[in-house]
Amino acid sequence: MDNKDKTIIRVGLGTCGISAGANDVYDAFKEAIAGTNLTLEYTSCNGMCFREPIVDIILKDRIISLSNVSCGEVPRLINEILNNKIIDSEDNDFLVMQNRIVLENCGHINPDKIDDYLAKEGYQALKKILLDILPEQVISEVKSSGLRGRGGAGFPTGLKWELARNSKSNEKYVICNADEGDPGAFMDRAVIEGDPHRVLEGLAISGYAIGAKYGYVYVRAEYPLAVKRIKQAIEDAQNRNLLGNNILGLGFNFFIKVKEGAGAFVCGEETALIASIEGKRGMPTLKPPYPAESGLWGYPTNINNVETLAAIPWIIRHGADKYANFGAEKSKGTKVFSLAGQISKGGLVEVEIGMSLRKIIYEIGAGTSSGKPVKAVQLGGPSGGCLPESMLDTPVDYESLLAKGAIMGSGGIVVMDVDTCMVDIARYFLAFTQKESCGKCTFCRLGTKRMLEILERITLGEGRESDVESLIDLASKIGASSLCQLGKTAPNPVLSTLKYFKDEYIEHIVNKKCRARSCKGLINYKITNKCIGCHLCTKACPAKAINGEIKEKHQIIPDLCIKCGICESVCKFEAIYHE
Amino acid sequence: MSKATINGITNDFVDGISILEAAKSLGIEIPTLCHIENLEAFGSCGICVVEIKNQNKVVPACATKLLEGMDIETHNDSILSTRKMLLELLFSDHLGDCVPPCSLKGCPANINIQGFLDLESKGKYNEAAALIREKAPLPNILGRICPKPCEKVCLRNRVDEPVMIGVQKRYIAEKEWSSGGPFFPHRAKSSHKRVAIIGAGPAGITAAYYLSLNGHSVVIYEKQAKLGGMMRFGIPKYRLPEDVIDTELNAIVDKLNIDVSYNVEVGKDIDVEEIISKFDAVVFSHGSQLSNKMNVDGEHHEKVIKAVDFLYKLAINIDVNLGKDVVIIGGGHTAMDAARSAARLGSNVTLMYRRSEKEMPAKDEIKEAKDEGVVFEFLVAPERIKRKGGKLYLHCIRMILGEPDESGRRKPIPNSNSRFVLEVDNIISAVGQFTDNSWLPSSWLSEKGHLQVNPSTYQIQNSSGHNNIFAMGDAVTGPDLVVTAVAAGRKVAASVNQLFLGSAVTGEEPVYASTCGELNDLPQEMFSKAKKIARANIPLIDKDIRLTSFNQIEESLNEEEFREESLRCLKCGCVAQNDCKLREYGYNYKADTKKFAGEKRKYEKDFSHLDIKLEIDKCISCGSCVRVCESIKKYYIFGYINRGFTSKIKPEFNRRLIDTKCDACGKCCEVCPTAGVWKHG
Ligand SMILES: Cc1cc2nc3c(=O)[nH]c(=O)nc-3n(C[C@H](O)[C@H](O)[C@H](O)COP(=O)(O)O)c2cc1C
Ligand code: SF4
Ligand code: SF4
Ligand code: FES
Repeated sequence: MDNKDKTIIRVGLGTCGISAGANDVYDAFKEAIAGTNLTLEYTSCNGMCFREPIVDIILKDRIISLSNVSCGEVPRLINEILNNKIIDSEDNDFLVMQNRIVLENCGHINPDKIDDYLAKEGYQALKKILLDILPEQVISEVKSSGLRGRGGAGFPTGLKWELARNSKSNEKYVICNADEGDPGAFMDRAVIEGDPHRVLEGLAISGYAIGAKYGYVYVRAEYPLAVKRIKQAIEDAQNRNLLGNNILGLGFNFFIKVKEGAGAFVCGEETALIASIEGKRGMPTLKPPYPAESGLWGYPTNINNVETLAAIPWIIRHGADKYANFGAEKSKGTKVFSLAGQISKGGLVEVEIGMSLRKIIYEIGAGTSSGKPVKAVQLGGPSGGCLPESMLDTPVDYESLLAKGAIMGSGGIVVMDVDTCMVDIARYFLAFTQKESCGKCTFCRLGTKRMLEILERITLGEGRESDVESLIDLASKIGASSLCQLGKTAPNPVLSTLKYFKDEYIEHIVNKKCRARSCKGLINYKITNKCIGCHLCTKACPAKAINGEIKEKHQIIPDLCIKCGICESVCKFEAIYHE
Repeated sequence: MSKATINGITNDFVDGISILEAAKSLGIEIPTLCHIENLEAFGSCGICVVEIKNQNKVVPACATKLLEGMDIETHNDSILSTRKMLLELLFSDHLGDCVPPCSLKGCPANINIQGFLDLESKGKYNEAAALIREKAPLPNILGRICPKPCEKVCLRNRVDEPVMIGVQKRYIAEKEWSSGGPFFPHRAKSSHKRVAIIGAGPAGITAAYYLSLNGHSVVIYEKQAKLGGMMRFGIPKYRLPEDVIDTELNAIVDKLNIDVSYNVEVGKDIDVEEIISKFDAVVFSHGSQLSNKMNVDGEHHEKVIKAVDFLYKLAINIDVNLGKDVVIIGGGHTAMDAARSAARLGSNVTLMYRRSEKEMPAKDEIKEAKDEGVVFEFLVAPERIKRKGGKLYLHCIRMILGEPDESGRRKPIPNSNSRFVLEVDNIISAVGQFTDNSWLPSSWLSEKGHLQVNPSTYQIQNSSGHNNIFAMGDAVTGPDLVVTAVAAGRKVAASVNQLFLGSAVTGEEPVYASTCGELNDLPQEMFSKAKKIARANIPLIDKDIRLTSFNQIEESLNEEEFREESLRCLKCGCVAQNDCKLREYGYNYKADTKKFAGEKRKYEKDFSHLDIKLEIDKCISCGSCVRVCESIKKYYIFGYINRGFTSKIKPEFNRRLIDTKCDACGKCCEVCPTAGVWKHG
């Protein structure tokens, strides 16, 4: 920020802010500041999605953060700013417990201004290694930081680089995986939209370390803003000779291209991603060979996730030891989680690995949005698992989660309160993976479909006694014999819910009961003797499933009822209930 | 070289080979569906999975390099059950009939109907007859008397009317006979094994036929003076002329050197024990000739006759004097035969059945019987028979239909205020038959006196340690169709043959096939392209002649008419039925083709191209066609579309094959494990 005395109004223009109306707010400010000495600026998402649109007022001495700003408020706010009456609406608990490394600049800098990044020590790490650190030393630094891949599998990053470095070839590639297909995960989007240069810097460092001249950023096509900002960033970096030939005159050549994803979840899987860059259908191939031996166009290739790469500049600048100070025994550093579901304060949180789920949910996320008790947490997206409330004290690290039947995955945390049906949740996630199966291997293509059909019939109240056994049999074979991780992990939500919530399955199948009352097939609406025959429900029923003479007790025809519950809500005499 | 262990055998293997190749070098066969020799492994199908014990991993053998120290198991229980499930999953999304339903579900003898119709349409009558004889050695007889369960499930029912199947067998046989037939395959060289068959009905003759062809020497013991059992003594001549029986059956016993001892009643003229001691195997097929009682008062009167006796007398040309008014009681084919025979003797005939027309087993002949003057009284049962003067008074009661009983048919219940009396001259009872087993060792029989046989091998159970005693046909099942007895005869022959060859006696393997579903559940698209062609009608002889003689009532069609009829066949069987890895493995791994019932791919064919045919509904998405076309021809004709369950392999961009540059090289057809893509001709 060049002018230190000026008051700056900074609007958060990340995808989340924009969908909450931030563009209009920005325009409203633009109009309103005409003739004042206020400056308007934008940044990207800072992770507090529950507060969007967010507007920061940067005063001489402090920053005031405003939440949920609407266009209508803008004239009043301008007035308050000009008259020094503006008050902070931020509640700090959300940020206090976080340790922001990857997200350090998000929400603070203008992502489209390379100078903003440079002002935050941007590209210093790249410069540092090019000046006097050998690739092998970079690798050993990353190794001793304990950084593990944030794309899901948690493979040690330094080791991966070493494998790619040791593959003999005149040509090598590095790829940044920004396909982010897990429903509900958006940390990679936030980083690219909010701090794109950090990712480029990390990618360039990985290129230097393994000996690659070319890098790709494979971005999900459904992220147009991220695509635009990363492209802009590449252009700006090239113009400053931070990318391209002979970077900073230090003899390293490195070029980055952007490739927009093919819109399929499985394209995030590294071998499918490579196929997709090569112009083929995004379909996984068998490993080995791993990309480190034979990747893009058959050359050794290193693929890292956005968040992994975004941690690299910080590690180089601050040293591996400092990074390794954070985190748990075997999982060092910080991890960004997307907190979603029935949670009061949903958004992105970056915390030390090893923090307990309970802390994340209650102290950062402020508990459930309904105020009801938590029932379970789904971790790691559709290939992850569900943990029950009783396990909320589990530290969130790779090993502890795996031991309990969940995974860290890309960092999705979906909170569910007691009104959630666990069978239906398993069905929901499996429906996602089934739809996204690439169709190549039999177990994934057809096995998940048959599992899904079983879950569907259970939630419709048509479950059979043998269903649990069939699910387990299918799950174990799909898990063991699918070709790629998508298929191998697809049964996880079913297996983990079966592990912790088997009672609910049995209730659905045997007692035809859904305790969360969310499976419509198992709900029956009934009319009691309180009915006075007022006809209100008859008129309201969209399925014309209620009949009865006026002033006489009405009846619901079960075969026609679509279980929408409208009748229950319109009845003024509490004569309709469901069971 | 790398040292590794496969199924307990430790060996040195060439570096860099796959587990599949390594296993093969030890003679261990691992199944594959997507593996293509000389192309890079793909790993899509998953059937080749093996377990690396010391890594606790399951991997595809085709795509995994064998490494030093691996301890691999290729056929352990968990791998076998994985492969079985995998095949069941593939079947669950495979819409195809390996074998046409007429043959699989219709014909009890599984005659290759599509095959013989095709040969017939080409004028290859001898070949057609030979094909029928692979499953049933009595084409001419069956062509006349079989009630044609095949036609009921013929898919052409969904287009217009079923293909005429039954009568064609008769025509084929006649054509063959007129060129010197019947012709039989060569007998195998003598096995020096001897088998006795008790009873020369359809089951016994059929068993004799196949056993003799296999080189065994056969002796038939027959109580009557002629061959045929119920075919001769139960079925009236207007349906099955005697000379047809003589020609067809005599040819079998004469040409195949089958010894028949006529007029010998086993159990009376010769001991059962004696026969058992003299032969290497004994087959009981003595039929089911004793009549059930009606259980009504007065049924023992001499003018109340049993249908079986009545028909027997007609068969051996003994005069039967029936009065003017005759009532037949019963609804099966025997009742029908008795009614129509009585009509031919000039009586006024009423057939009385206690259920409705819909439930009547012999309903296929109702129309013809009515033409011949038979009057039907449905939902009526006899209660008692009285006699006064020279007349019989049949007291009857009307019935109403209640809930379905164990047979699935609705149970008749008497309606107590609907009694009436008929004045008649004779009553013929045809309410079922049972088997006379009184002469057999009692240990072989159940409490009710039935023979107990193993349902797959037909060996008699409890035959005190004997594994070489068999029984079949009506003797075991009670009265059933001739074609069912023929099927049983063939299956028993298979068991006996296994016994004689010294292999395990497991019986004939049932036909293993994938099916598209039941006739009425099939999607209409399956039939949208079939043109309607009216079915021919077999003319019947003049009604006057029918009413005064026992002449065969069905006439015939000419060659051209039969040919056109055989061309109506929709050819529902799969082109790859004998060359399909899915079917082969499914059979080997005992995969239940219906294990996972759920959403299935839709009926979808692309027959646009003259030579290369695509049956997308049979594709198992192995990807082989995509890969050969891509790597050998560089044409990229096939590709994947969609994702998840709906993903399919089809010509890229959803084109029809004719709109691609496919030059019909046929490489894809060579690698396709099913009939997903095949070459015409
Ligand atoms: C079905 C599937 C989807 C995946 N999607 C992503 C993704 O969207 N982003 C990502 O970084 N990694 C994804 N991965 C993981 C990648 O295959 C790979 O492990 C990762 O990009 C490696 O980077 P890391 O070592 O930095 O984690 C996915 C894996 C699978 C099996
Ligand atoms: S596991 Fe699923 S996504 Fe992976 S290769 Fe098989 S079909 Fe494709
Ligand atoms: S059509 Fe192609 S993909 Fe389908 S089964 Fe045949 S070879 Fe495999
Ligand atoms: S996966 Fe090995 S043969 Fe198909």
